[in-house]
Amino acid sequence: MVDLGLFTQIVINGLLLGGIYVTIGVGFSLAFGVLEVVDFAVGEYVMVGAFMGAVLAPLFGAEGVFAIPIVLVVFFGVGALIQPLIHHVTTGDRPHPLLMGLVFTFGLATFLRGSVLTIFGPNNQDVPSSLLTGGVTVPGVGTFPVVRTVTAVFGVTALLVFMYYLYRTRGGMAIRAIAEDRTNARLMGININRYQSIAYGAYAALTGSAGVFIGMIFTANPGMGLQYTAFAFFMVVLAGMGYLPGVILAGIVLGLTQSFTAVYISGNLVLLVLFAIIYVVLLVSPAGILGKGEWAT
Amino acid sequence: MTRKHGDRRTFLKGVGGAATAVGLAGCAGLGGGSERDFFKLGAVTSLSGDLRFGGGVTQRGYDLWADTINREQGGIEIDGETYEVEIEYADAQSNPSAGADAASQMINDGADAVLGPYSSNVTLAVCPIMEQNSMPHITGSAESPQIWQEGYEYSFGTIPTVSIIGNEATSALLNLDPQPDSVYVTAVNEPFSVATGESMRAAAEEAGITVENYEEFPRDTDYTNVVSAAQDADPDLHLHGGHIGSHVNLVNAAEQLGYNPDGFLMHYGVNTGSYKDGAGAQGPYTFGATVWIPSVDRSGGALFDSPQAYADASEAAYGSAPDYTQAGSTAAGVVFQEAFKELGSAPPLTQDDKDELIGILEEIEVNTFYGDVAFETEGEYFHNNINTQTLLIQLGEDGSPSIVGPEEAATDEANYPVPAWDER
Amino acid sequence: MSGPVPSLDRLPGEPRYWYAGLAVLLVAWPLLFGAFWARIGLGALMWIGLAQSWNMIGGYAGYLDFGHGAYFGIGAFAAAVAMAQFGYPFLVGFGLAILVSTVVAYLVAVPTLRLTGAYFAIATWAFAESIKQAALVTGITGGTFGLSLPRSPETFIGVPVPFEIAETFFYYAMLVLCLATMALTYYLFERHEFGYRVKALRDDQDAAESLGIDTTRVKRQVYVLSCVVAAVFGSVHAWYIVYVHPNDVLAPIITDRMVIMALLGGLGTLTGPIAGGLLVFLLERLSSVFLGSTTFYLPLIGILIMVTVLFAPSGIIGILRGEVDRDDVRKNVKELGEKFDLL
Repeated sequence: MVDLGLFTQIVINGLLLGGIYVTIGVGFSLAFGVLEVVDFAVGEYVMVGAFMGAVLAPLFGAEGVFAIPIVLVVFFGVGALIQPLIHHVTTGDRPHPLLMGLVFTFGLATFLRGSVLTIFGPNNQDVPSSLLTGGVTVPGVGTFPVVRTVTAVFGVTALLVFMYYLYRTRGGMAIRAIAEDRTNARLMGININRYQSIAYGAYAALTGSAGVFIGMIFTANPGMGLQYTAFAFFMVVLAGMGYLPGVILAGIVLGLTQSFTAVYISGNLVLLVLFAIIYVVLLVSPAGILGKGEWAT
Repeated sequence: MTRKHGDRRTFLKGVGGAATAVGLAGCAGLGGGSERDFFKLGAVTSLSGDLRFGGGVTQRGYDLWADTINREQGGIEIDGETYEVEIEYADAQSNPSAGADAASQMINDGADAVLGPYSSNVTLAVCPIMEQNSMPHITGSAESPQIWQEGYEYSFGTIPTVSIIGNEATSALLNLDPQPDSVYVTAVNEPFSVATGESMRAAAEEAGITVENYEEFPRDTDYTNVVSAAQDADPDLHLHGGHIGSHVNLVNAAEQLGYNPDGFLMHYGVNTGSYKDGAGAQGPYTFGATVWIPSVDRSGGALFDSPQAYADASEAAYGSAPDYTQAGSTAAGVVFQEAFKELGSAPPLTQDDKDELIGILEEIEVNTFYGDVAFETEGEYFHNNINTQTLLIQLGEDGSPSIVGPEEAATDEANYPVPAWDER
Repeated sequence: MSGPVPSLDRLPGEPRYWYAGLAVLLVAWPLLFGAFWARIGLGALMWIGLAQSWNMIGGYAGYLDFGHGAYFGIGAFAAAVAMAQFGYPFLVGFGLAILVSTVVAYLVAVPTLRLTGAYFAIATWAFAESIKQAALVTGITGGTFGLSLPRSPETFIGVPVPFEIAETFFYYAMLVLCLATMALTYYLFERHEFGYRVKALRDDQDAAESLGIDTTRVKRQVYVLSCVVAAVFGSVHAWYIVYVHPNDVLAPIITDRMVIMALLGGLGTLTGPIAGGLLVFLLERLSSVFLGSTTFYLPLIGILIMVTVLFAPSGIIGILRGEVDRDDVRKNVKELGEKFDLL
């Protein structure tokens, strides 16, 4: 018999887990939709963000939350400077522009992971927080872990802010124009380099600060990135590549699938089920579960 | 067609250049002379990759042995002459294929004996190489029971297999007062951790205690679901087999969801810096399993006078407290040193010497700071040292471990049941 | 034989001596340098072959297969299951590896090759991860404990062979397989009409179809071929390394390495994977010898990849061929500088 208390708790777990994925998926989806970059480094931004949290938190009285503004600024700056490199390898007269982009970010990921491993060693590092501890229990429903709830709220807020920026501001219009057609955008007098860098910087900043949250929820470890790269891919595939609003639904589906499989089927099958779903979704509906992603090549 | 020419030519240039480079390196590698006035040990361990943490621990263990014997006794004494010990490392890069190559490199370089890698997967690829080349090999850290079931003639291990450690630590925990009625067992789906989890479950079943559930899951799973399912079963104790990252995730999720069993027993590595740093405020009161900590009461003997003397030497050399993997690695060196003395042959050892050494290792009993070491010569633990007593430890407020079981070895009273998360 | 025999007179010195010297070196290698260097040599040969197998689908056909390592693992487990679970000799395992990989590759090819670009890359990657997860929970693959393979003299063909199944044997096995892969690639992709169809498909699928090329069929052929080659190497590797585990032979790093080797060497060329394979394999294996025992080689490989992609997209072979010279790099740097005009 399904136990109702456990059931609602599993739903909460799944939704909040989905919230974590949303924080990663938003930026990644933006990068894909606007810049047409499939970024293998996404998980490594999460990892570096978590390590920045671990390093900065002690400076602010062991409070990881205060590291987030700094991470946002630093990652925005670094991201804005990385984008021109990616732009360079994916344009011009070189063969396989898509592969070049993929492999360049793969090189970047290897570089980031190797550097953190070399500098900090392989150990886990705690990202401490005294504000976000424990859970709030709602009688008859279940327990909401504070740090996970805040993370989910952060992810959804970031999504709304991005949507507002893209659809309600001049800068957003420029970015959408670039996504539509680079050459036309250039002819319209838009500085593509600038807006592309803004978009990639925003993606990096968001993903890096997602890393701080993830560090607070779990821990920081040099090897953690690969897993989040995988989840970022899951997110954009389910959402439809480049379709921002789909990210929420993708997070919910991914989180609930994971928690229900783990508890009601078998913990051992969780990743098998997830990867199989991704494969099947790509074959059946490459534009995402809503069918609204862009069919790019 | 001209393009084809270019292709061929560059092909030859490329291959020729690379082949020359490798050839030169190959010649350089062959330069090990047969005249040697020191013992040369090869050490294969993971100095890079995922297992670098464990690899570093074994490296410190092996180095501390070599440095100490060279400094304090001038080396190993054979017929009135002392021969220094030198360790040459080869990186197993955390994967079996590189580990096997590294093992072969040590044999190629003419090692007298080999100190083994960290992790069972790499060890399982290294043992056949030792077998094929009749090279004596002691590992100070691999714990998976699979290794000993293969029955390798030339491979030995100083750390008891985890099926024993997990079982005995669990039994000790179940004897605490108030006696628990039920346990919940989880394990990460990897060879070592599954062996750990299964040994914990077996111990609970033997003690007649209800096992609410036994669940395996992949390393990268989300632990809130594991915790919610466990919370729903409401066990007295939670037992978990995994590596340090999974322990950290488990206690973090437990804290977030307010899951409060009377205690968590987790293996491997709760008394490591990586767990302490990773778990932060959630670390204290965790139970763990080990076969050695600095405060254990053991006699000492060859090389180090006592466990504490060993810990002090480690602090002085590396600024870090040793765990049982490091101690077991040092003990592997000590066993070789005593076996070399008994063999009585000056280095370099001939193949006959090495074969004789295997016989000596099968018979040997060495008293060390780590405990009394002797290897099994038959059965499922073939060539594994299972004499060293398992200890149940618990982390204190400051993250330092103390021995709380089994009764005859305990130095401290367990803090049990452990305080709930919000009462800490 | 189709096509003219290439003339060799543009090589420096007497070209026959180059070939002869290289052939002698390759054949004598394990006898000259002993077991350890035989291992390094056979590892390099295996990775060159694997890089070439990826190059078939990724370089010549332009399909970014990010799940190619799955077939290496399928080959390894086919041999391991045949030998460890059923007690068959290696030859049976070898045949099984070819059979299973052909069937699986075809079943995957039919739906997956309808996708292109990033979609194909992610789909193949998800497929490979599914295979790895399935191997971890399936009984016949040994599940989480993996499988240990026997290696006594009768495990090769069923009756004892008069030589030792050790490094030298595996060196020659890999040498034969690697040379066969090279010859096959040369013949099919550089000489045979098939190669022109594949390249036409890569460069412009619609144009290729209008020329009457059955692109669906060609794609499937290349994919299955490249996967079977990877599986063949996997089966020999399993027997060589004796112990197979999903986390090792199905690790994503296997695919990553193949891609990096082919790319650094030069995509869609016969010789690129040789150069890239040698470079990356030796850099990884010998890094502890030359760079000390650190993790420093990881960021180094990362930088190497980024610089190659930025400034020499046709890889090492492109540089050796003179396709990328100083002027190209200068032009590249200038163009890159313009992209930093952000304000």
